[in-house]
Amino acid sequence: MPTFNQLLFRLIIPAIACGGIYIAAVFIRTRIENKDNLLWLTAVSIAIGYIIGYISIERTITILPREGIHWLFYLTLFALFSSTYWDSEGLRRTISQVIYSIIIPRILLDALFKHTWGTFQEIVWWTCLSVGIFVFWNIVKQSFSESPSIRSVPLIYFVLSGGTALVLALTGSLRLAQHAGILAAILAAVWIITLTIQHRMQIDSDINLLKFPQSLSPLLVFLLVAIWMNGYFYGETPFICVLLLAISPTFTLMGKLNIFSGLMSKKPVLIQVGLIVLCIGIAVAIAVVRSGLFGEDTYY
Amino acid sequence: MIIWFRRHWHVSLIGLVALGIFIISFTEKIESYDTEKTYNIDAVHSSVLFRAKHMGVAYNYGRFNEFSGNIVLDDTDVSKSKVEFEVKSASVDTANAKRDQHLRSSDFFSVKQFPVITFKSTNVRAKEEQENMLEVTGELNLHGVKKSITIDVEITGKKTVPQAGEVIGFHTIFDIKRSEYGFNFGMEGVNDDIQIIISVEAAHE
Repeated sequence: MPTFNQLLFRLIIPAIACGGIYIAAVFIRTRIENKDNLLWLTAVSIAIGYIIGYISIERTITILPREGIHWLFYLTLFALFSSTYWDSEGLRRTISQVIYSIIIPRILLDALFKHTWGTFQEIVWWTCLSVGIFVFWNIVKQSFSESPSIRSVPLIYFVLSGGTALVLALTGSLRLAQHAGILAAILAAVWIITLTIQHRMQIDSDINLLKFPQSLSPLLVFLLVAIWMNGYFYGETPFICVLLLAISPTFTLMGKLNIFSGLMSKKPVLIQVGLIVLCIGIAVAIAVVRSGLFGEDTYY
Repeated sequence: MIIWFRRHWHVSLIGLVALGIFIISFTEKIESYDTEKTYNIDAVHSSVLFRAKHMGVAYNYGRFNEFSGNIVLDDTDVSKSKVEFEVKSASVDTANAKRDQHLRSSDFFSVKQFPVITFKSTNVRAKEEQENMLEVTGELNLHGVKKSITIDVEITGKKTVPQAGEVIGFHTIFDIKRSEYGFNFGMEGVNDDIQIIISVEAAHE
């Protein structure tokens, strides 16, 4: 069982730090003329919260990353840097997206490239993962703009991060589960703050003030993808669980399909979030079955 | 005969030089065969164990089942001796399948990223006033972190046996701090201080 200190430093303090900066960012943006300026402050709030949690778990920042997990810190910094220009320029954004999609599998899976894979395997894995990251990134970006309610976006990613933490914990990667747990705690804080501000200020959902900006997509994509890849390639996380987690945000795009438009017109948020929770729930259920949680020999 | 040597003195000189070189190199070779011996580690009769304290309460022992290496031992000049040792991290065994799986994960050994643990000596010297004791300094590469350590090694026996020829035994116990090798996970459950116990039987090549 985690101790109070662990919960405090690994979940509560990152969530409070993120929440504080997020509230400040929203209020700063209410006072400036162009509300689209400083959109990247949302990414800053989540990144700072995550870095506090990262240092609490890893106890240090490794200057030269030796493990896939060490890259989580540097990927957060890369995402933070990218978020500063993500909301403005189109071409630079696309080029960055392609480059990051190619680079991330190479740096995270360096050990497999060096020790395990042959040339053919390298090419196949690298291509598939790069394409997969690029596609997932586009789904995340779309989910920010296509969601029927601004309140549902932080909720979706809170559920996704929480589901990831559960799957990883059940499949024996507790260290990675804690990293996903930090993300879940931070996004829960953002979700609660979004609900509160929206309720108090009576902000309509079409106002961009509380919307997840596109500049947040690098951070969420880098962290989620890096955690999943570490879990699958270096841990024992089943492929089916990672796949279910990765495809779950696709349900935010259901409204675009004609066959679902009638269904989605009634209770869009409930249906979307329900389907995403169902998808993540199946992943967690598979992890529970594979973990042997209800068998003997669980305490060691 | 003498006349022939006088006439062909240059041939004789070359012959003498060649003979000298042959004798010197031959004796050197004989000397090296006598003093420097290479022993290969016999994994069947060797053990690599570790001890960790669980919850600050009791010591738990584990072992690695797959390892290899060789020891070059120079009887006349111990400083010329060398040790090379390699352990497969995936072979960790603590007599509990779930715990072994957890130890292999990125929480601990991360065996897919760091498949081997290696030790390569940089200096070997005999311990003063302690018979059969060596002080071995070398690079321990564990979990991707390379550190120089110095360990005391006891030569536990030397014998010629019919099955393997000349065999020699070594034993060492030393402590490391796992945090120094990047094992920071689960400090609350498993103490930082880890004791390593290595007992090796090696056969002459």
